[in-house]
Amino acid sequence: MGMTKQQRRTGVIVNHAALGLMLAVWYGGPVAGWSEVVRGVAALIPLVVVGVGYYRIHLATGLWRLVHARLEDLDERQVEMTMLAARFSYAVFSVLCLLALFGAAVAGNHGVVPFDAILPAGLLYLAHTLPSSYLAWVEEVV
Amino acid sequence: MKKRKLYNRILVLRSERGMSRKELADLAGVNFQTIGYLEREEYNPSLDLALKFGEIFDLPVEAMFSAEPMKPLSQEVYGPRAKEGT
Repeated sequence: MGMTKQQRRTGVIVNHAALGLMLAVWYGGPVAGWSEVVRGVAALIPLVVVGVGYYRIHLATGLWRLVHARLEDLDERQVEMTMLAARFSYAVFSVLCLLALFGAAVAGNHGVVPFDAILPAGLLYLAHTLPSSYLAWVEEVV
Repeated sequence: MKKRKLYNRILVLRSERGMSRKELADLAGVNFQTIGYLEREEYNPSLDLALKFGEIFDLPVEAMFSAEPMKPLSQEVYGPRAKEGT
C-alpha cells in the first residue's frame, strides 16, 4: 500500500506532533495537578500514535532501512538523498538537544529536577527518525 | 552550487527496447526508483552513470543527455520532411 507524498507529509506532522504532545502531557501533567494515573494514561494515547506513525511512515515505507543502510548498498542518488537527510537531521537534532540541556540547566538552577528518562527517550526516537522523516517529506516516490 | 536541469532520452530509449525500469536499473547498477527520477528529469546522473547508460544503449552521452530540451529522436534521425515541390 503506497502512500502519496501528501499522505507521508501528514504522517510526519502527526508523528512528531504526537511525540511533542506526549512530552507536554508527561511534563505538564504534574504542573496541572494531574494524578500519576491520569498523567500515564494521557501520555499513553499519543505514544500509541507515535508507534503507529513509526511503523507506517518509517518502517513500512522502507525509509528507515534506507537511511540505516551501508553506503556500499546505496546507489549514487540514494547516497545524495541520505546525506541531505543526515545534514538536515543533524541541524535540527543538535538545536533541540542544546535547548533541552539549556532548559535542564535553568530548571536545575531553580531547584527543579530537570527531567527524567522520558525526554532523552523522546530525543532518541527523534534522532532515529529525523532522517527518514526528511525523506518521507521530500521524496516524490517511495 | 545550484544544479541546472538536464534533459534526457532515457524513457524513450528504454521503451524502444521493451525494458522495464527494474531491468534497466539492474543493468545500470542503481535502484529502479532512481531510473524513475532520471526519466522525470528530477535527477542529474553522475558522469559514471551517464557513461554506463551509453554502454547499455550503445550511444554517445550527448545523444542521451543535454542541457537544452531535446528534439524528438525521430526528428534527430530523419530531420524535418521536405515539402513537395521544394
